[in-house]
Amino acid sequence: MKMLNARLQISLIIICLAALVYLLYKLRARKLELKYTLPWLTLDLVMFLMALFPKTVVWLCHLLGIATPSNMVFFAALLFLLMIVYFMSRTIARLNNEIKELAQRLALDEVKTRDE
Amino acid sequence: MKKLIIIPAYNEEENIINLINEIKRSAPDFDHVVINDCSMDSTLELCKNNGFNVIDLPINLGIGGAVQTGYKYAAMNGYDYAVQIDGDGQHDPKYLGLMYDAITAENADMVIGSRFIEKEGFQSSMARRVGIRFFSMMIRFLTGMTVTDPTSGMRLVNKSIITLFANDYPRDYPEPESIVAVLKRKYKVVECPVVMKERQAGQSSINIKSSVYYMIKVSIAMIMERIR
Repeated sequence: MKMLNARLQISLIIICLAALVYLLYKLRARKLELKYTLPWLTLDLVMFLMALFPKTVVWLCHLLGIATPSNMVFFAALLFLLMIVYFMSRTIARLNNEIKELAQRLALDEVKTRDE
Repeated sequence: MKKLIIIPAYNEEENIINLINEIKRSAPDFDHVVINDCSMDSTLELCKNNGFNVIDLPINLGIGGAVQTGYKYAAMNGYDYAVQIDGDGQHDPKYLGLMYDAITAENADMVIGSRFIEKEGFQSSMARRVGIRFFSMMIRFLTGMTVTDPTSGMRLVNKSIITLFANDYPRDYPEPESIVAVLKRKYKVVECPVVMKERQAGQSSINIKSSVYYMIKVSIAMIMERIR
């Protein structure tokens, strides 16, 4: 079983730090909302921890039956992405419904004013 | 001086009438506005039938959105001071006079009604107090100012802060974060002792499961607010 090689570790660490800085900048500029950025920050943290603790990654590989540590890293990132996208689907559904409620309320209010 | 009480209300049918009557009794010099945050019960009907000043939100916005609506209303109508009182009966309107005296006497921009100065009345659960202590320390770290009750919903603010909050107010768990926003802009914040009661009726919107998420999120939010 190959260990998580040093190049991958370093690449991961650099990318995670760069991503963190980027996310924090966007949060600060109000382009992102904290509530919807937390999942991305968590993903970033998990990738970072995997880069720092390769022995844990190897252990997880044994646990889950994954062939190599680099596969484990990709698998974890993929899993996270799936969860994030699902979470976004739920949010879209909710927003869609709220828009409907607002549209109906606005239209009915216009009727109310017109009829007064 | 035009003074407004902002009362965010979500499913407070059991308590809202008592509260408004209590307000009319102990703080007759304050106007009030109930922000009905899309309640599922009869809160709205009760307000309308009893002639209370109520704003009916078409969708549920949560405490931050509801309270901000109140601040927008205050700004629109030229109020000089606005104070928040929860719709659940935990806050006693009889302290409004005290808080108003504090803001004028100390020439402050914001007065927070703190449970923990005199430590009387409902002190909240142990778990919550630990959390509150933690936020106190964070605020101290970020702004240098000691706030004993950073999660208190009983806050009185002047016109400058009404404008600030009307334009920008956090959606979730807004109390600690908004304090950092105010302090970082060098406004004067003072606290005054109040006694709060245990929740009389209805349901709290905070539970144990969301507590950890709450702590992490609010902490990051406070740091972000400080470094904006």
